[in-house]
Amino acid sequence: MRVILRDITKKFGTFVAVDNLNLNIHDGEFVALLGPSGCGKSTTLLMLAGIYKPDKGKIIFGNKNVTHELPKDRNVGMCFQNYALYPHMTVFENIAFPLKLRKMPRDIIEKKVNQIARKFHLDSLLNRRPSEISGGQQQRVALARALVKEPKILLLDEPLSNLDSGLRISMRAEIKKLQKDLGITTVFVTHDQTEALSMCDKIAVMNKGTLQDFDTPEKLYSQPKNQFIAEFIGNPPMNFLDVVCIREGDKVYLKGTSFKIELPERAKREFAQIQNGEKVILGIRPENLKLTSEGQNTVKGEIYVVEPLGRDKLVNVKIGTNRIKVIAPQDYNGNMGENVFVRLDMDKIHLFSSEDGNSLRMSA
Amino acid sequence: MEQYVQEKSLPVAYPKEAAETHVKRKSSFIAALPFIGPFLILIVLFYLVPVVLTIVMSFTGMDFTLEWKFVGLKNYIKLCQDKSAGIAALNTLKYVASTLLINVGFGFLLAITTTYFTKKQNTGLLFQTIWMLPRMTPAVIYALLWLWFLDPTEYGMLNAFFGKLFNAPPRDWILTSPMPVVIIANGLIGASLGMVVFSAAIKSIPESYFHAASVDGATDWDIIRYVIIPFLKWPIMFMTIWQTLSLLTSYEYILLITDGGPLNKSEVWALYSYHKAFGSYEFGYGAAISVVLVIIAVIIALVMLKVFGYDAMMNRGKTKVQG
Repeated sequence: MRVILRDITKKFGTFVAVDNLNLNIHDGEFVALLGPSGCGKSTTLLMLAGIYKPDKGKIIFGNKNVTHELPKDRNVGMCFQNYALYPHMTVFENIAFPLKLRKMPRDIIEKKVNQIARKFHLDSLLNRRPSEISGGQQQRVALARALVKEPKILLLDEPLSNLDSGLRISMRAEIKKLQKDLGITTVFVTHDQTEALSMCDKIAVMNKGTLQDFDTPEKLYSQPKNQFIAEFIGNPPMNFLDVVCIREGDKVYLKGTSFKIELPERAKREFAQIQNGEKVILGIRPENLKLTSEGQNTVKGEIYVVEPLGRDKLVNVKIGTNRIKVIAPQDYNGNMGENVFVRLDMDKIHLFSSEDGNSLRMSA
Repeated sequence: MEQYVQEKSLPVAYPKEAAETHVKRKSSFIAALPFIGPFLILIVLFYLVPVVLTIVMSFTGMDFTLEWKFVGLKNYIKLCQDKSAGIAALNTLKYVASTLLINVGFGFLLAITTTYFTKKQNTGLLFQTIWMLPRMTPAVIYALLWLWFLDPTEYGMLNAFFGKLFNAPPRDWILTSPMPVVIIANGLIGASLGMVVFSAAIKSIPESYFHAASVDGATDWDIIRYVIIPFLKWPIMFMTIWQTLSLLTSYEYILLITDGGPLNKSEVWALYSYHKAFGSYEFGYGAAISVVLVIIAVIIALVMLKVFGYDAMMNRGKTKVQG
């Protein structure tokens, strides 16, 4: 079922939790609401569930306006960060609970619960209580409970946050596979950009109650619309340097405190709107930087610290007052305090306005 | 360090552990003494000593002369044949059962209305504070308010109310229905404790349980039945035990409002003991009545703790959540 949020605003007292949010989620899409804590993503999810009522705007499921419908009439399945499994009920009773509330006959409930329990490998745990099973199993019970009533929409509120890291990575794949198999429209709230990037078809990035962008993970990663998205998406995060744009005849340079680099043709076209002398923020991802020897278009810096990550090394380099992170090969052997030169992959740079942080890319 | 060396020299593992725990227990008891000591002294002085004195006194025929004349089991035999004691026993049963229902049931209802149904926290709190007010007023004033409220003349508040509304003639409520009066008076003040305890317990249930239940299609009634009550199992049990015991021995509001009257109609066991001892100065007999009450209270407490499981109640009293 498609989900449309139109001009949604939610206030708590004078605090605006969600400000004029518009989202258009297609049928069967897996969408992440991504943002730091307090950005309004959970509030949005609870409005989709019907627990909060928006102060303004409309929520449409399919072709139906559900803005004023109660949670029980919306047919959504929901999974919570703490799983919210009833401790006094067995696994069977927990999964059966939504069906019991619908007053389904006992034999149908039993059939459905057993069916979904097999699917989630919970058959042997049906008589246990939530406190007697592991975190990963509790997570599966919570998912089974959300899905047993065959909802049209699945809402996931940070479902992986309480799992240990190994399990989290395997559950990431499990949930993605499950969503694709069922083809159920799913909205997933997370503050972990890796989860959002790896699992979802589209990501809605939120900050301070407003939607920053709603696009595919690739697009958000390669062409972030503003500095917030650029910094929030990607790990390790994007590096930022304060520069001034200088136009000399045909050529365009970016001048920092200790360096001056020339923009290649493609970047020149992409950022043609920048004025001579305009202060901008240069953004570049750690993987688009290379440590080399002195040469043209390189930036001189000093190694601050080296963090080996196993597959590669993360080198922190001090350039003037800024500090940037560079991904170096595993066998890189620079030491703290040494001088290095950093070469930027100029086709992969991002330039943001120093005033509002918006991208200065022409197509953006 | 010394202790460590000593332990090392012990040959077998098991006695070493045993010795260690023994030493630990002893020293932790000594460490705890300054903390529990003052209360221990108070309990011994004001609870244990009076109980022992009462038991001894119950075997005497002590009267206003305050002489310890031992009479053996005479008081207890007298109690078995005392018709008023039978009435008091029956009244106590009615009084405890009915008031308990109000204290726990109505307290639960108040907690639900002020915490679950009242979305604005301040409104709920204000309402709870109002319910707590009688608890902060001295018992005598609370009782006086009831006497004034139930005044038999047409100026009594309840009579004025009924007179205005139904044109009913004034009634002497205390004379016509003394038991309901003492039960309601006690219940209304007692319910506030349950209200506070249950409210705190409801607030400690994580929000997500309510959200999960309402998304799964639960109505308010379903949420109360399947979420709130199971989570409140232990607070409810605790309140039931606590209130049963305190109601068994409570008599001050009854004394002040009806004084057990009219004609023993609202006389409960504890009040009967008081009346015998301080009304007709039969201290020995009054003590015997009290001893019976102490025995009954201890038996009820033991049975309830056995049934509900004391350890489980102490450990599971807190609302536990996984994850």
